[in-house]
Amino acid sequence: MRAASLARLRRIARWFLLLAVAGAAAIGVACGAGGFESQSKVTSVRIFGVRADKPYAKPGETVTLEVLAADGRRDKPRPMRIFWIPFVCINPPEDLYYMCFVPSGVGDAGADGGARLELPFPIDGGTEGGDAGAGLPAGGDLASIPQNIDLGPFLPQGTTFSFRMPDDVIKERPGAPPYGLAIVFNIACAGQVRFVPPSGGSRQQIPIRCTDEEGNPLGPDDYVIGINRVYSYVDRENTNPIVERVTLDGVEVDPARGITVDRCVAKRRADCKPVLIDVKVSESSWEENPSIAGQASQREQIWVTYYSDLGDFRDEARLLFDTKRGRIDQSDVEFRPPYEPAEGTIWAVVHDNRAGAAFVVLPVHVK
Amino acid sequence: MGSPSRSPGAGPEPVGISRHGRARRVSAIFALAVLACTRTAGAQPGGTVRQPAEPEEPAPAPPPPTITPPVVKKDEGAQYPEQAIKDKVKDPVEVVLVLEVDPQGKVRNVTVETPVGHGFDEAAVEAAKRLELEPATRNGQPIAAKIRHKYVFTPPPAQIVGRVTTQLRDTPLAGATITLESADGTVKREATAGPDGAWRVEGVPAGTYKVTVAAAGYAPQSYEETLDPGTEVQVDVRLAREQIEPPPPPPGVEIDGPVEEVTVRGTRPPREVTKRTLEQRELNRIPGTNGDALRAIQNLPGIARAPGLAGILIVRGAAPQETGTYVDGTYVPIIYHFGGLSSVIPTEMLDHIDFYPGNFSTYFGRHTGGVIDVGVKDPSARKDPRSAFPLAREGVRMVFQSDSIDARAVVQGPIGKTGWNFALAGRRSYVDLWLKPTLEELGSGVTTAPVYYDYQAILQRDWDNKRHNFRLFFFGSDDRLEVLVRQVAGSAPGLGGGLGLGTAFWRLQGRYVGKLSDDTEVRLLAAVGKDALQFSVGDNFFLLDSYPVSGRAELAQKIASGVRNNFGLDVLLQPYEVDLRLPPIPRPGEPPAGPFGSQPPLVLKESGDIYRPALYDELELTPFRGTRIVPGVRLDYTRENRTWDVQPRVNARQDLTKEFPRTTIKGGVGRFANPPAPQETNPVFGVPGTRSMIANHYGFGVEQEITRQLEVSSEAFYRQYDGVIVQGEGNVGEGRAYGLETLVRYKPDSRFFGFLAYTLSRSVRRDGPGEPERLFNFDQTHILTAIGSYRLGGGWEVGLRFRLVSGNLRTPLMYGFYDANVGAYVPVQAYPPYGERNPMFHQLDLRIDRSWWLAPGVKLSMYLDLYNAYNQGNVEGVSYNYNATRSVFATGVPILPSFGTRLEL
Repeated sequence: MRAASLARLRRIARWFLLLAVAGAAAIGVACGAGGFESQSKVTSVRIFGVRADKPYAKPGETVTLEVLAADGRRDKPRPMRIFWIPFVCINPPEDLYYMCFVPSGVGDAGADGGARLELPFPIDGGTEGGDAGAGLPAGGDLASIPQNIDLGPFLPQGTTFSFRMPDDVIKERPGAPPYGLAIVFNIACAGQVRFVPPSGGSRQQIPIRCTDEEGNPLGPDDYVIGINRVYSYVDRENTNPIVERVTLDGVEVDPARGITVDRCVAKRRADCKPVLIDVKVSESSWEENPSIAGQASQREQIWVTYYSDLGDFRDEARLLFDTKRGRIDQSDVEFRPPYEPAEGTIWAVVHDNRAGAAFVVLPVHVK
Repeated sequence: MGSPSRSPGAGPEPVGISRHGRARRVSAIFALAVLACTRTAGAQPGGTVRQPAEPEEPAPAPPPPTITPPVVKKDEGAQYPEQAIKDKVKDPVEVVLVLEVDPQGKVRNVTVETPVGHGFDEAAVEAAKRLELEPATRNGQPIAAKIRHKYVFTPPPAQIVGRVTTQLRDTPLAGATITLESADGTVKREATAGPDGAWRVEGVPAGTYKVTVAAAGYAPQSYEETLDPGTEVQVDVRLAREQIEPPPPPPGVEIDGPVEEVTVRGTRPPREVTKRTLEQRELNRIPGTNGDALRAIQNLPGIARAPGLAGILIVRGAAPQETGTYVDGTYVPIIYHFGGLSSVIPTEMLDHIDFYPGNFSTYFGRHTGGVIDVGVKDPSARKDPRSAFPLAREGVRMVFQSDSIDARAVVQGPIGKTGWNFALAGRRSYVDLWLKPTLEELGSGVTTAPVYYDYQAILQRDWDNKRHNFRLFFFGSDDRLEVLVRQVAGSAPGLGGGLGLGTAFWRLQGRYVGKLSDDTEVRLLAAVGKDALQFSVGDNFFLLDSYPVSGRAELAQKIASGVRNNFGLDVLLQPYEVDLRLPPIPRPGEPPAGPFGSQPPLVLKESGDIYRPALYDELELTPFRGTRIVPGVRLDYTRENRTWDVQPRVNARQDLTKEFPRTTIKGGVGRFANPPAPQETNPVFGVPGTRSMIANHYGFGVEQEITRQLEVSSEAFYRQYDGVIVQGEGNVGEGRAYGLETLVRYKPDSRFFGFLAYTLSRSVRRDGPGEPERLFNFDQTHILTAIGSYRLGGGWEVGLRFRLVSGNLRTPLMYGFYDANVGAYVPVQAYPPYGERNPMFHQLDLRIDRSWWLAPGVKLSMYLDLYNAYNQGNVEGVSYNYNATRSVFATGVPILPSFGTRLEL
C-alpha cells in the first residue's frame, strides 16, 4: 500500500481512538441511581402473609385463614391488633375487590349480578346444605354502619379467621373453568378501626381506616389493610407449599431455635460478611397447574419472600421453582447481620402462584 | 353560376325587390358569396375569418344593375370556444354562416349553414353579430342582402412551463435545456431554464410530445406529455446527479463531504393534505437517531416523543395502535426493533418515507391515527468505471456499517446482462454480547439474550423503457429475548421466573407497476407472510401466529384534462392461531385486580381468520392551475361484526401564487375507521359485536416559501372520535384531539440543513357515559424539535438536535393494601387516570461525521452519535417503593455515545 494511504489510515485510527476515549468517558458520567429501603426491612406494622388451610376450598368447606404479621415500629404508642371485616364477599363482578363495596345495581355492580356479602357462617349454625347462599347484596347496608366510632370492639380480632365457603359459590366464567371466589378483608391496625364511606374519585379505596382516638387517620407505618382471596373449583386441588428445611450457610437449622450469627465488624456495610439462608421446599409442592382442554398444563411457580427486623437481605425474594424449569439451584439469599448484638426475627413466606403459602419464623441471635 | 334558382339555404327575400329581378339578384349575390367563401383570409387568434371576396361580374342581363355586395369593415373574429377546449378538439373547424345584412349594413340575422357543435356554432354566430359591414348596393343605393360568411377555428396552441431543480437540494438548475418533440417528429421546440430554473414554451400545437430535460452533470429525464388545446401543462423536474462517482481526489486531498445517493419522490402534489417527506441526507444525519431513517421521522411535527427509547409512534395524540406502518403499501406489524433501537429496514434500502399525520388518502384504511409508508429503492445497477473496487465497475455496490448496537451489510447490482437487478441486505444486533454476561453477573440465567436481526432480498426488472416495473421483495425481522430471573422482586413477585419475549415477521411481496397507456397506470401488489408474537412471564403467556395474505390493485386513469381517477381494491386475509393464558386486562383507570397470580388467568386457544376487504375510489381534480381537489370514498368490511364502514374523504390544495415564492392553502375532511382487534370482539377478552372505532379528521393549513431553501408550513387539525373501544365495555368511549403543527424547514444546500418543528396539541378521552373527560394517555402539549447539521469542510459534518417537550402523563399511585395471595402490596391508583404530568423533557443530541475517500469509489465514514449530550436526567416515570409511600422520579437514558463506521464500495 502506498505511503499516502497508510498515513490516511493512521489518521483514521487516531480519530477513532479519540472518539472511543470520549465515549468511554461519557459512559462513566452516565452512572448513578438511588434506591428505597428494601421491602425486607421491617420498621412498621406489617402483614407478611396470609395462609388458608385450604387454598382451593370446596363449596361448603370451612376455610381458616391465618395471618402472619409483626409490628416493627420503634415507638409503639398503641399496640397493633388484627381485625377482620366480619363478612365474606362472594363473586364480585370481574373479581374486583372494590366491587364488594358498590351497591348492587349501581354503576358496574350489576354487570354480572353483583357481589354478595355473606356472614362467615350461616346464622343457623352452618349445616351442610343450609341456607348458605343467602346473603346481603354488595354494599347494601354500608350506609347503616355508623361512622366516627371505633368499630374495633365489634370486629373479630386475632390471627385467624374462619368462614364457610357457600354451596353455590361456583359459577361459569368466560375464558376460564368455572370457579367461585370469596374475598375476606382484614386490617392490622395500631389504633382504632373506623368506617369511611366510599366517596367520589377513586373507587378502589377500601372503606375502612385506622385512626387515633380522635379519629385522625394514622399513617402507613401504623396499619395495613389485607385482601385475601380464596378460590373454589369443582375439580381442582391445591395445597400449601411444604417447607422441608431451612439452612444457614448450607447447614440445616432448627427453626424453633433460630440461628446465631456474628455481628458485622466491617467499616463499610457492603463489606459485612454475609451468611447464606435458604428455604428448601419439597418437590411435591411443585404441583400441577391445570389448564383448559387443548392447552399444555404447567406447574406452579414458587418463591420465598424474606423479612427481618434487623440486618438486611441482599434480595427481597428468591425463586424456588420455575413453571417450566422446576427447582432453581441457586435459591439462597445473603443476610448481613447488624453491627450490634441483638435479638430479632427473620420471617420467610413461601408462596405459590395459586394462593398457597407457608410460613417460617426464624429467631436471630446476633453475637 | 348565375342560375336564377334559389339556394336552399337562402333566407327571406330582401325588402323592396321585385319578384323577377329579385331572383336574379339573389343568384348574383349567392354567386358572389360562394366566390368569397373560396378565398381565405389570414388566421386570427382564437379563430379565423374569411373575408368576403370581391363580387364576380354578374351574368349579362338586360339592363344589368350595378350591384355591390356587402363589404366587411370590421371583424373582431370569433373566440375559440371553451367547450371545444374541454372536448379536446384538436383539428381546425369551419363554420359557414348565412348573414342577412340590412341596407344600413347591420347584420339582422345569422344562420348556421351546417352546425358542427362543440360551441363553434355559437361562437361564430356571436362573432358575426359584431360584424361591421358596408351594405350591399344596387346602382349605388343601399339594399338588403344575404351573404355567406365563414369562420375557421384553429385550435389554440398549448403552453408548457416548469422548473428544473436538483433532486438533492431543490436548487435551481439554470441553463438546463428542455426539448419538446412531437410524436411524429414534425414539431420541435427548445427552451432554456432561467436563473430560477423556470422555463416556458408557448405556442405549442396540441398533441403528444416527448419532453427531455438535460443539464450538464445530471442524468437527463424524459417524459411523455399530452398537451390539449389552450391548456398549460406544468412539468417540474428534479434532476439527479449522473450516476457516476466523482473522480477520486488527488492523493492527500479529502473530499468536502460525501456525495449523496438520493432518490426523492416526484413533485406531483400529494393526494393528502399533509405528506411530509425528508430527504436522504436529513434522514441519516439527524443526531440521536444513529443514522436510522425511520427513527428520524419521530422528529416531525405531529409525532409525540415516545417515552425513553420506546419504538412506538404517537401521531397527533392517537394511541400507537391507531397508526399504520407499511412497506411499499404492505402492512407490517412493527417498524422498530426492541426499544426502538433501530428500524427493521436499513436506511440504505430506503427510497423515501411518507408520513401522513392525518387526512390521508383512501388508499390507506383501517387506521384512525396516521400512516407511515416506507418506500424501498429498486436495486442500483449503475457502473462506476473508475472505481478501485472491481465489482463496482460491473455495477455491484456494497455497503457495510457497524455501530455500537448492530452491524449491517447491503449488496446490490445487476444479475449479469439479464436486465434483472438484485439487492441483498441483513442486520444483526450484538447487544447480547455485552448484555448476556451483565445479566448473568446480576444473577439471571440467560437463555437468549436480547438479539434482533432483519433481512431483505430484492429481485427487480424494468421493461419498455421503465414503463413496466416488476419487483419481488422478501424481508423480515426477528427480535427475541429469554431470561430466567432468579431474584424475584418482593413488590412484584409474579414477574420473576422465566421471562420471554419474541416478535418476528416476514413478507414476500410482489409488485407490478405498469403504464398501460399515456392515461392509464396500473399498480398491483400482493404479499404473503407470517407474524409471530410470543410473550411469557412465569406461567402467563401469549402466543400468536398469523399468516397475512394481502393484495392491492389500483387503476389510475386520466379521464380528461385535469381529471384523474384512482380506483383500488385492498384486501387482507389473515388466518391466525392464538394460545394464551393471561390475567384479565384492566379497563382504563381500573387497577389490575392484583399482580400476576392473584386471580385465575383467562385462557384461550383458538384459530380463526381476519378478513378485511376494502374498495376505494378517488378523483384527482385539477380544474385550474394550482388547484387540486381530491374527493374519494373508501369502504371497509369487517367480517367479525359484518359491517361496512363507509368513509368519505376530501382533500384540497390551492396555490395562491403561481411563481416563487409559492403560497399554498390546503385542507381536508374525512372519516376514518379502525376495525376492532380480534381480542376486542372475543367473548373472553372483549365484547362480541364491537364495531369499528371512528375518527373524523379535519385539517387546514398553509405552506409558504420564504426563500428557495426556506419554507414554512403550518396546519391546524381537529380529530373527533366516536365509538372508542374501551376494554371490556365495547364502543362506549369518545374523544378528540386538536392542535397546531408548524414546520420551518431549511432544505439541504451544500452546507446546511435543518428544521424547527413545533406542535401544540391536546388529546382527551371519555371512557364511557358519565365518566369524566380526561387527558388521553399520550397527550403532549408542547413538542419542539430543532435540528441543524452543518458541513464544516474537510469531510467533517456536525449536527445538533434539541428537543423541548411536555412531560408524559402518568397516574399517581397511593398506599393501598396488602394482597395476601401474592404477598405484595397493591397501590391504589389516582382517579381519573393520567392526571399528573412529568416535568418538561429537554435534551440535546450531537452527531459528528467524518468521511474519507480511500481510493476511487471506496469511501469510509465514521460518526459519533452522542445521545443526551449534557446528560439531562429527564423524567420518564415515577418509581415507588414496595407500598407506594415513597417515590422518586425515574429518569431516562443518560448520555449515550454510539460510534459507527461505514464502508461503501
